[in-house]
Amino acid sequence: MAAITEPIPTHPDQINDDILRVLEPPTPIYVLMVLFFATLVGLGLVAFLYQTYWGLGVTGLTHPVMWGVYITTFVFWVGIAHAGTLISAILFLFRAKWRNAVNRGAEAMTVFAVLIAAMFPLIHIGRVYKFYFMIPYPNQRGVWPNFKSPLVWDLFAINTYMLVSIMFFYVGLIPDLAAARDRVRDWRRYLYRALCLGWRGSSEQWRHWSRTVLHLSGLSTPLVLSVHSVVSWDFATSMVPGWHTTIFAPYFVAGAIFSGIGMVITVLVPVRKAFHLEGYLRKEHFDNMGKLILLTSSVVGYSYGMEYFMAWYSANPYEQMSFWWRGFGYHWTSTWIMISCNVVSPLPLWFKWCRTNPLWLWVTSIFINIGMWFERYVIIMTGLSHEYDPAAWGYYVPSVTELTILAASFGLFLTMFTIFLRLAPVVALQEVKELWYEDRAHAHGGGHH
Amino acid sequence: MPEIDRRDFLKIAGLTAGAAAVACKEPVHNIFPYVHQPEEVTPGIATYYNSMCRECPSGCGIRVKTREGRPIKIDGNPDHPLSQGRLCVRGEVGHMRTYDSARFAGPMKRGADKALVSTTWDEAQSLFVEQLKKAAGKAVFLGGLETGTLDALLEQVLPAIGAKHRLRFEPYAYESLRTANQLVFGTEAIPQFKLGSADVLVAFGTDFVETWLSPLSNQLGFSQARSEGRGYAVFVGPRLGLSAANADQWLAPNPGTEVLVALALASEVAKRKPGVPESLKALLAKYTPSSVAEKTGISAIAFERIGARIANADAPLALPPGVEVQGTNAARFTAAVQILNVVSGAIGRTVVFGPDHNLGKLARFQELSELAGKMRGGEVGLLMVHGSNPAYSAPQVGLADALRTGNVFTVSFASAPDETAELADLILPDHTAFESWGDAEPVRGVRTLQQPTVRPLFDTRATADVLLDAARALGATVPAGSFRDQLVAAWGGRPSFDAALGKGGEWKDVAPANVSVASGVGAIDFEPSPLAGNASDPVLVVYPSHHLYDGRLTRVNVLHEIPDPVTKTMWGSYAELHPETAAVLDIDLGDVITISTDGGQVTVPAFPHNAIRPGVIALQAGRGGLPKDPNAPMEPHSYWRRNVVGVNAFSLIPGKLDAQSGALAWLSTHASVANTKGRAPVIRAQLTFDQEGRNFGAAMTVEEMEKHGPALPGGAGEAEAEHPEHEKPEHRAQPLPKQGDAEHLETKQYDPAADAHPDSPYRWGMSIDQDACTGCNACMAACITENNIAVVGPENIRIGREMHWLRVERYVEVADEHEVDVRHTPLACQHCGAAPCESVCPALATYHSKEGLNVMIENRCIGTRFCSNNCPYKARRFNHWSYDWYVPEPENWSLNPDVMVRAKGVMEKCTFCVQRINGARDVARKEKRTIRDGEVVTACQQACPSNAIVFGNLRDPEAAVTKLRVDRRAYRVLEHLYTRPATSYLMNVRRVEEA
Repeated sequence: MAAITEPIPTHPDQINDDILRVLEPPTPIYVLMVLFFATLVGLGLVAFLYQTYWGLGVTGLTHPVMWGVYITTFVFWVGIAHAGTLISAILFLFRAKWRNAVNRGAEAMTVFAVLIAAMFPLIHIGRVYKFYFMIPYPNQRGVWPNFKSPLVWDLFAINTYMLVSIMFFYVGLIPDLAAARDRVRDWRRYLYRALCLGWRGSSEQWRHWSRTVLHLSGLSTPLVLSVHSVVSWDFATSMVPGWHTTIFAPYFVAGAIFSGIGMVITVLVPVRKAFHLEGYLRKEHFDNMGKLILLTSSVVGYSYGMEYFMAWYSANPYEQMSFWWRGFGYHWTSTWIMISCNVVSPLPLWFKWCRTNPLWLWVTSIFINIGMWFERYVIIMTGLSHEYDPAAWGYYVPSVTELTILAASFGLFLTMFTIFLRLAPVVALQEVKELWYEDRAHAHGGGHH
Repeated sequence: MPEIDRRDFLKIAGLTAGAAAVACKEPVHNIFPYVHQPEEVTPGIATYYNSMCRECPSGCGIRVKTREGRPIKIDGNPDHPLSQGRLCVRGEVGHMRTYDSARFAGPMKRGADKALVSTTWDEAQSLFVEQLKKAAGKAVFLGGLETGTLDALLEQVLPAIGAKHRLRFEPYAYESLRTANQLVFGTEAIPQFKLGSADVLVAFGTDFVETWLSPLSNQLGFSQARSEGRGYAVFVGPRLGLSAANADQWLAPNPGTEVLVALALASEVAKRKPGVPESLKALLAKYTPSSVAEKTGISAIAFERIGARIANADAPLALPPGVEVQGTNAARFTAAVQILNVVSGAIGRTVVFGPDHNLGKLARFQELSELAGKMRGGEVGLLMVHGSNPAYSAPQVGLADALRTGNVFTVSFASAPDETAELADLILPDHTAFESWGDAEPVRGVRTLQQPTVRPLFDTRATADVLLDAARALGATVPAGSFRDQLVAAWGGRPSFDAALGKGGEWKDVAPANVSVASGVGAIDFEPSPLAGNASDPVLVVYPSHHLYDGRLTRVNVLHEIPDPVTKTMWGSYAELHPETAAVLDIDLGDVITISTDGGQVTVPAFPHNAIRPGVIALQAGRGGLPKDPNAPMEPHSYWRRNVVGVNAFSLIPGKLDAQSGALAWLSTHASVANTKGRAPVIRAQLTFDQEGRNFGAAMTVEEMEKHGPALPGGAGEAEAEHPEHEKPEHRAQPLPKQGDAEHLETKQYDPAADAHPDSPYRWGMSIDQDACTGCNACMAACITENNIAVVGPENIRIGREMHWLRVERYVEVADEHEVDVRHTPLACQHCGAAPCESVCPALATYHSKEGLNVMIENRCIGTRFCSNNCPYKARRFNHWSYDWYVPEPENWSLNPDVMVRAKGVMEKCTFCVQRINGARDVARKEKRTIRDGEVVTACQQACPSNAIVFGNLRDPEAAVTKLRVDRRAYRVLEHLYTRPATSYLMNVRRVEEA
């Protein structure tokens, strides 16, 4: 194992003490934070009701840019939702030990992000009260949704992902909920007792549990790749210049993981600081996440380059014009924000000092979040504003309503995450303990890795 | 946690449910049956009445479609010689003025505090009579152009009520043409200009497509003369207006020197043509191309070429100047143009005297000036204003000031508020054209009847009846009975009146009259029009509005929202200037500038564009009318109804007159321009006029076209041999490669007729001739009224939310002295065989019908808007708001009950007028046959004054649309995307000047 600089727990019981400290009564600052985030949610709710009452005229959406901040934010949150499953499922299957400390936070983030993402298509549609026309349900009219439409694929992909990630998250949480049940003495005891499904920690239960986790990992792994591929086909199967490319599926998946890891860092660095979890969320974890960022950033950067190359190489005038506008048109700033945040800002991570410096990483991760939101914005906005018909070119400026709902989505995410922090251990107890025992075994056996 | 008791819970639950219910509200419209069904009205069946359009003085015959007693759609009367079943953009929406919510609900008078208050007709009538008595013969009647029974009746009645003086005022009054004809031919008559038989046309600033003389019949003739690449047109003037954009060459001489261009052309023609009188030869010898080249800024070679063209033409025609180039030399300039017509042999051939336009009685502008002077001098006691708005359209004469002095009691017969009515002391509102009887003879021999098609909506009275009653009250002897009785009598009593009513009027040929050149022509002194002001400032050009005419249509929101045919701007006035001029003046797009002349000053946003000569600044007259509706609700996005839209460009014209004709000199001054550094949105439909080589508007030269021979199958641009056999119509029956097969994908050949259900006898398709299309927007107006398309207002338009299902795209390729290549592409849903919109809709709200239509089910739509994103033609429109919520009564009475009104949050688009297809199907089914070719006429096709649009069944090999699909000029827009569009276009024809 890499050099450890933080104080490491000396006994498994200390792990319990350290991590379950989160269950202690909240501080005023915490309460204020939750209230602040919840206020954002409230504002978003008002904005949404306002929009539903008056119609989408309150947004900046217009002809020809019919998709804007809402779809951008939808894709953004779906992307965020990818890190959790990557860390819990794929890295689990690859036996990447460093994931044990970060997987709980990442999974929680996944669930919250996918829940938020699933709301956005509904916020986005013109008649939200008729959303069920998209769902295949038996009806006397015999009308079904159009299964050729990528939006219907999307509906299935997002819902599948939402169900599987909630299940995965919950199953992983069971042993820790039992630990919490054993620790707290107030009303929450009943909650934990109900949620931990009678967990006793018998070897039988552990065996069943670890098989379930393994199988769920197997089930989730293809989803990491498929969900965002399907989301990318919302764009790639259309004939909009700048959208209609085969590169979109891998490009979107890499982007999703990129943004997901970014968000994991964004939320875990403050948590680590606030709850003094330096011994658990250690620098080598950040080192590894930094490497993942480098990888995905390179893939994303390559994709950007390839998009421009293909636009040039295809000799397709529509594509070329679209990319010219993307780089130098009305919204050139968005494009350059995207490139500098996603390609340039992670470059210092090639140096280990930057990777192992949580503050540096945290700042980088904020840039990544911004950059990845703008990536989707650029794709959607610039693609639509300069399509085939020059007489129908236009542009789009987001309205206050849209930006309020965007802010509310962050508010909702942070509200859910901060409440979660106080309800369940943010670091998976059993996994850290497993690691602790393994380390000790290695140390005693003179093992080395 | 606080306890929630049952009451609180119910409160919260109720609030939540209420909020949800409010949020999900959709407008509810009820349909009630008649309790007593009127005769002639069958619910669901339209009744048609022949009548006459009164939106401009040209008097076209119209056919009004009424449903349940309300006019909902106006079309041309097919039997009428002027409209021939077509109609212009203004005529299409004429009924909207009847449904104006701001109309006067009844008579009004000035109350104690000088505010207008409602009154009764009895009271108003007695006040009117009292004031007439008081005026004691010093009354004046200021009306618009009337040429029928009303005119004759007024001649009888007005003297009886003491109004000895009568003016027929129109801002576009053709004074210079009348005087010039007097100078050149010794007659004031305004002859017929037969654009239909002219093979070479030279227009001197003549907006013959927009407003000049009889724009609809001009356009009918113009397109007729230019079919299949024939015809050639030259436009001389400072702006590349709509008429100029349809020409093939654009000469933009130094403003004011247009007269020299006419003379130099005449001189060139006289050189080549035999039989020119010696006196004219001597006169024209002074104006050789080289002698005027420097003054006009036009190269001598251009004169020679065009002169040769005119001289070699069979039937050349030079059109007299329009108002935009009417300077202080207007009469002499027009005389020069008529001399060109004389030397080119156009008189008697394309310029026909005899069936003259009845505009001869119109007052000259000078007379209006004199009237204003008299009013100031106290010589007028009472002014009656009917059918005109001089306070707005002639601000130079100071009529408004004269009225404000209070010496004159003003009676307005306006049916809706306007600038003159605002100043009136008594308002006796007349019926609108759609509520009243009338007739007119706009052209000698063409007598047209006008009949009411709706019961008067408000408490209004026919002005003729008001005057008759007043005369009777004054004890004068006037004909007995109402105005309608006079009308019946004038048409020879009931049987012949009824017969004429059925037909829409009565027309007979009028023999052409011979004219000869007057003797004094050689002595006319031709001078360029001098321009006042600082010579380094741009020259002010004011031109008539194509949509609002002289401002009389300013209350019709639809016309503000249809993009201007040239600038593609909407809702407001924009100062047009060339980018070079703008750079010199340091003005950017959207900068708010002030333009000032001796006439006045206006503040407008600037719109630099290329279709205007450098060194001029142009403004459209007719905009900037009264505030729309000061009492409009302040709901979000409807407060635009309160705003003044644009500025009054008439107010910039200094009151200089052409001494000879008494016409107002529109082109008479430079204007000083200052940039206020303020910014204002330029509301426009199109951000660029460059199509980036994308062939939305494609073109071929005459040579390329002729290479193909007539109607060669296979479409344009490729030789016959390159085209597979199956593209030829006679081989249509043979199977094409199966769709999806390798061969199919490679050739991309497809049979548009295949894109429908195998059992269907129909695959609907359309063909649009871009060369015929003038870009006049009549199709858009027709589409809007037929399909209940919402007006969304400037705030929405500014960010691009117009709802038009059909738009006319304008692309400028070349516009200079050598060639004008402006392409107009009317673009609506192409009803693709492989429609990109259909596959992406999750709710199946849009799908392919059995008959090949791309159908939109608005009620199934949830508004994901993916279809719009995926439509390469951008033909789909989204309801961002519930637009019908903002339409006050009775404006919504103009809605077509056959087409649903769309709710917020749903997509809509062109349906190929599916309601008309279904109507025709019902008829055909009853007769146990299929729909015949030409039986379904879409609204756009019906309106098109150029006959550019053809609709029909692509599965019928004999149908016109099927044949046009394989015309030598045919192509499909974005066909390489393999959307398999059902609409095909015929290319523009470039009539390129020989090198």
